[in-house]
Amino acid sequence: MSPSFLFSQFMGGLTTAMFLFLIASGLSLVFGVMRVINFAHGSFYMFGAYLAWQAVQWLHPTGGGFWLAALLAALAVGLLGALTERLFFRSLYGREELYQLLFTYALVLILGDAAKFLWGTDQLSISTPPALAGSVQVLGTTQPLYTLFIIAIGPAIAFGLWLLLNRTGAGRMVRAAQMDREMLDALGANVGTIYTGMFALSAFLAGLSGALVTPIQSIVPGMDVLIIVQAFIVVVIGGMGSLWGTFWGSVIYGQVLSFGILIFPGFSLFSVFALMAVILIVRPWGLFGRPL
Amino acid sequence: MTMTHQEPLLAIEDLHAAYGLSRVLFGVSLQVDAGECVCLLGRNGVGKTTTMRSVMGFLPPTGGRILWKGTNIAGWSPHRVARAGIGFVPEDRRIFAELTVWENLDVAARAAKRDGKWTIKAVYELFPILPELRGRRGGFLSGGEQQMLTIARTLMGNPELLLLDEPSEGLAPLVVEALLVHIRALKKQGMTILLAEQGVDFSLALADRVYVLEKGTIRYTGPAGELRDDQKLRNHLLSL
Repeated sequence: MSPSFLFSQFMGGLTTAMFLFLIASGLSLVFGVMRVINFAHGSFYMFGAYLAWQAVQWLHPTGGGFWLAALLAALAVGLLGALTERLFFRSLYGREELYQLLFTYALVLILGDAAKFLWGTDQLSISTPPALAGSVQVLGTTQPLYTLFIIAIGPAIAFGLWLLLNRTGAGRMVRAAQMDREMLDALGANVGTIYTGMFALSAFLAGLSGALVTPIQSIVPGMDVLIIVQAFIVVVIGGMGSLWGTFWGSVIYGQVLSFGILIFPGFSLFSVFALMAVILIVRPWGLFGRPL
Repeated sequence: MTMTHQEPLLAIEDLHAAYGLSRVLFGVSLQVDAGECVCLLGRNGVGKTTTMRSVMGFLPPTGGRILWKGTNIAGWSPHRVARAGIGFVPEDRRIFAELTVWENLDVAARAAKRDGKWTIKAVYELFPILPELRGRRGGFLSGGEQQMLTIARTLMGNPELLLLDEPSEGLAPLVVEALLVHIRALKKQGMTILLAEQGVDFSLALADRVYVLEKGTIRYTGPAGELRDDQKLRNHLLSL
């Protein structure tokens, strides 16, 4: 195996990783703060993709307008997230996980059918934005610019979220809500609003990643369920609710998947699940998590 | 009961409260005037904490009224009660353990959104130990330091009434002494305080008036001086 081949596998793994991180970060955020496992997070991701496609059709039916479309789609999904939180999730906090699971699974089914109803079952796709359509030579490999952009945006989002949580007043409020919701309430904070905001941010990130994936993958029904399983694995590996855990969980997932294919061709997912099993046996709370 | 012509700051009328089917309060009535320090005295489990939690809105009362400056706030959500000007210092302190001392104070100021004389600088002056600890996480403070931070944190919301739930609980005698000095300073600055205590000495050292609570009802009410001077009455009320 030549170094350039290994490098290109590595870059492929990194792309997978950063995409997964974009999606899983929102899942981890909501679990970390509200202790809710939102299986409908993948549905938000799918809606981000469909809405981006829809926005491109409206804005520039001949192509282009990708960035604006992606932003609009992410904002719309953020709004959808805020609405579902206000209407439904609010009554799930503090309930048993089983109720959360059943409710969010119902949401997966409803949103999945809604997407089929609105956009049909055909594959849809969006072309790569012209500015990033080219590629560059790196260490003897050809790297599409769009891939490099995705690899850059993962750490940027991770750092941005870290700054938001640890260096801003709003972030301090969120961390206080995570530690002791009732006390924060007694100090005068409307914790419900904080929760809605966090949920909207989480949905926004899911919608954004859905929109950003469209130049690389086609938009199809079922992409919601496919991604939520992967995002969930990443969050579990990294430790539920830990942002950096989710980041490194994604990196490990991407690389194991990318190099696992070389070792067990045809069983690409096997290595990932084996990894998850090993981690859960050794550290049931994940790499960066804390024992519950 | 002291007769004043102005409206009491807080007036609780015939308050009933229950945790599920188990009833805890059976018609508690009390009032706190502006500038007073009133003590709810009683043993563990008589309903002191429940009374405070009802006022704060954690436990909506099953009957009765809670009048804050004449408005019935029974059933309001805690953050609404806090923003109306009632500050709560819970008995278990509830410091945000992973936030630093400074962050704990900053969060409280942002939560209540009530401007006033209590700024971070002002609470640092009242509790000179806090600025030395400003970068330390709440979870790494001693019990006494935590208790001071809890009070300081609640002050950041510029409350007009402070509900202090068992501030001396679990603290060493020397620390309790220090705390007493701080609370007395606070009282001297004009803060209205409703104190719940089991410790007779602690509460009588601070209070102007006392309500003795027993099995969810008020059993005695009078000036603190009366209880302080009358050993027999004190034994009669509190040693049962």
